[in-house]
Amino acid sequence: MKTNPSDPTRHALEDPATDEVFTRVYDELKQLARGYLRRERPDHTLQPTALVHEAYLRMSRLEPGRWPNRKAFLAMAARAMRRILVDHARRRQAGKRAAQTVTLDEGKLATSEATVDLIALDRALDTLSRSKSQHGKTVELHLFGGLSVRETAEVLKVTERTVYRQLRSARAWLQSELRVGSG
Amino acid sequence: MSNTDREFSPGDAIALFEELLEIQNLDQREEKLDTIEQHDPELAAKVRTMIVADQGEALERRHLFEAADESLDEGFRIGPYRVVRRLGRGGMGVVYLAERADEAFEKRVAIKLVRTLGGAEDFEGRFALERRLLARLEHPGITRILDAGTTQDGDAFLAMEFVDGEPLDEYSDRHKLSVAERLVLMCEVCKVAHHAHRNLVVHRDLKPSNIMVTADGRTKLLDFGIAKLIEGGVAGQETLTVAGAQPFTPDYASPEQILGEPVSTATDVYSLGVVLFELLTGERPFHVKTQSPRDLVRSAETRRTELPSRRLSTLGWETAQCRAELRATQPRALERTLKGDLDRIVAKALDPDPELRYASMDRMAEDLESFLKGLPIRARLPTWQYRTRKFISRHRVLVGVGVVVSLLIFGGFGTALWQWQEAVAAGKNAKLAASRMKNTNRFLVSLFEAGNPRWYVDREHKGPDTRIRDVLDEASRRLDSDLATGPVERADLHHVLGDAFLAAGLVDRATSHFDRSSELRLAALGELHEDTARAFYYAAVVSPTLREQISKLRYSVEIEERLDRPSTNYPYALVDGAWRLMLSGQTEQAQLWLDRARAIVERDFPAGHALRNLLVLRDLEMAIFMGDLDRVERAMDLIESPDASFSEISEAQKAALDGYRGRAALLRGQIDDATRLLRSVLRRSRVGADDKPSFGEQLWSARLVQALLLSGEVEEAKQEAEPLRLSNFLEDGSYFAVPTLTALASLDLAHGDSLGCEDFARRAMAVLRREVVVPNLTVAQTQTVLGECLLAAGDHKEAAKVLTESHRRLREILGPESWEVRRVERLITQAGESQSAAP
Repeated sequence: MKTNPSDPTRHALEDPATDEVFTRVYDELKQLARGYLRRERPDHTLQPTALVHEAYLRMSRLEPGRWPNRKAFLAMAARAMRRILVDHARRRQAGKRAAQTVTLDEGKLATSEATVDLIALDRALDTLSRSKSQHGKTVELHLFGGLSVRETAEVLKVTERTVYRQLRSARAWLQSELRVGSG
Repeated sequence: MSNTDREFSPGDAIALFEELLEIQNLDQREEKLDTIEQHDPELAAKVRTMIVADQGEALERRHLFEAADESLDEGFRIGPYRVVRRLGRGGMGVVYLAERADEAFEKRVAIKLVRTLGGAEDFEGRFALERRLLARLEHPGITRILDAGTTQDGDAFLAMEFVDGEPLDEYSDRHKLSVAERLVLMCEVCKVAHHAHRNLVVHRDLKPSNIMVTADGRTKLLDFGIAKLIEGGVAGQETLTVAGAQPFTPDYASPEQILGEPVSTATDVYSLGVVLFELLTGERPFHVKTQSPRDLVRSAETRRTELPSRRLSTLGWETAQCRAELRATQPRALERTLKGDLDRIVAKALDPDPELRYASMDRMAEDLESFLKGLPIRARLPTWQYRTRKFISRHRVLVGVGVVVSLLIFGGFGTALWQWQEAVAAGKNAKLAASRMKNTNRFLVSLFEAGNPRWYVDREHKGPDTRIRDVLDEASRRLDSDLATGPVERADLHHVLGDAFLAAGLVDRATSHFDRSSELRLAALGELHEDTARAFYYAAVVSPTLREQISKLRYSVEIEERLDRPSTNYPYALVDGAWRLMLSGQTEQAQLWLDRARAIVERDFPAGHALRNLLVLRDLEMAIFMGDLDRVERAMDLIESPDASFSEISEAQKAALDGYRGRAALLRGQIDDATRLLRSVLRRSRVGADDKPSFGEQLWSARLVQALLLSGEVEEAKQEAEPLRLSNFLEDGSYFAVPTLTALASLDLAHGDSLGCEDFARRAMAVLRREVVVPNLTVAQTQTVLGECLLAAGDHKEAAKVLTESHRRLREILGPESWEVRRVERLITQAGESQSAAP
């Protein structure tokens, strides 16, 4: 999977070999995530933290020394996770449209309550990242990548307090966007 | 949709937002926003939205991932079906509402995606038999499996009839169904389950959400037998958490399920027992909060039966009110309805031992129907049985020839005999019919051989059961002629029969067997034999008077002490003897025996052993009987200290502790505390809905009456005393009648019935004179009551005499500071005054 030039992913990572790395990470995570997305664990939805860490373990075991340091990996994994989810959502939406011929039945066709529109969120996140790139990254690492606040602070080389602040305002902004967006 | 014609950037909005957050004062914030609004209304609006969003639920990871999960919905194909929407998520996977994509039929189905990580072919092949059985299962009360297959992704799925209804518990609550109406629904459920069982299908995951009620009020069971199909597929999987891998729901699962033991129809009985419990009380009997399998297992291994009525009584007032309302009744009435037979039905269904539960669901339905019709049910309280059986298996080594705890026999023994009788009557088993006495015999002896635990004097027997009596009488008759050869054997059988009669509440018949047994043993084995000692022990325990009991126990103890090695019964004889010696006022001897028992127990018995507990309790009792408050404190400290391993303490003993605290409070003159504690004891030890209160109940009840009268609660005292008037101790005239007699005396006094009072009081004194060797606190207290009665009757001279004597005794025992002593002093003054005032 080649990243296209306007893909914000490119901006986030400096190393040119990144593309290939990213692809591998993406594939690995996707594989793991797929199992969860389909099998539907009965207790909770998938745990990105566990997923990401598991991916890291697997990849570093397969090719020790080859991989960039853990922090960079985590950053990449977070991005990949975001990608995976959004792609999944997009596919489903496409599928939905095709199946629109299903007869609505007595208005019981429930739109799931309070589901976040992932596609809209993704777009909003892009917008945010363009303007306040660090806020965007913080969100990506913490929410999508499953990193803890401390890990996020380490990766971004800022204080935890900063992370908290950024998360708070980023969330507020994203949520306000989604309200408007979903109209 | 991002607003590209916006002039401010996200950065601006965020910067402003963060700035505003720094401002603590809300008015100032508003001011600032208003200012901004002047030249950039859109920015201001944006930030306002952000502030609102900030105050609401934050965007979390789970929202993102849930969104991802949930997008496998609506419009998707699963085999030939198309998903309409997700219905829910169960223990085994997700369930969707779907319909046929080719619109060949109108039918709506519920589809379960089955996680067979082994692959779909596995599913097809392995479960052919189960699937066939399930497919044949046709009953209007069971949802059918319509289809099964695989999805494009290789997962297996099951398509079932979709039921449009509500889960049983929700339905019942929403319609505020009464207990009877709920039971009617449960009957239906039981019968349906029975049908499936007859067709070899066990549900394994019965719970309210699997029991739907349709709009027209019919019940339909979901997911019959599916658990088995799923279980096989999921077994041995890795990454999926343990919590997800169980094909059952912990709160409703039977112990054997949790422990991984074989499952049977009894498992379904258990689960329905839980459902019934919930329907009746709104609570679940057992709930393990953590997800950890270890805690679950521990709960399964150690759980005891919960009675619905008891659980109800532990609820707070408001909760109880709520629950009762949902059942169209009031809390008191609800408790009354549940207590007794319904408790028994639930308890039988929830018995941890599968063998002891209802043998089949139609039996359970029968009992429910009997209950609804007001007829007697079959179930007995299995808790005693179960506990005792467990006790037996734990303490096999300890007991040799033993006595059976009365209720064990009454429960298990009686039932077995009854069944045997039924079988004979129906001529079902020719062998049985032919050698019925041999079987009875064998049964009795096997009971005897199995070794049995203590029989506490705290016997809480119920009324005799006619059938058992007939059978036992017959056994008795044959005993001396048909069976047994040697005298020792006969002695044993007399003993066992004695037990059985005792258990059935036929004490006098029991006594004669025990006596005969001890005679035979003495004759056959001679004095110096532990069996003889034992025989006298048991004979003692059923003897009618304290004196006789003491003399037989003494004999038993003497024999033991002359043996090379005393038997395992020795400490019990000492403890029981000590108790009786205490009651008869021979406190020094009692203490001696207790000390001796303690030495043995500390040497030979492990911590937490029932006998240790008993010793500590006896010590406490002794202290109370002697009025020695310091000693009472010490004993209570010992009991309450963290390393007093009171783990095996029975429910009755736990309740009794509160009772003792109550009595200690009485000694100190803390009447309110006493009343509260005694009320608590009674609440917990009321067993069943019989007319006649049990032994323990009577004793506590009598004390409560006294305490109530002291605090002026005459009305409640009167209510409490009513059942006491029917006490069988009053007929016996046994020692244990004294508290009751005294209570009734005081009650009459409170009502101004001095004649009635005097009568009761004198009767009490008569018993005491007969049974008590050395006058003790009880005597002194009873005398006081007599004195009061005489005073009220106007016989001042006699009153003064009696009261002076009791005063002397009380002072000696309790010390001059005691409130009781002071009270008597006041009474004496009254008597003196009246005397001098009299013409």
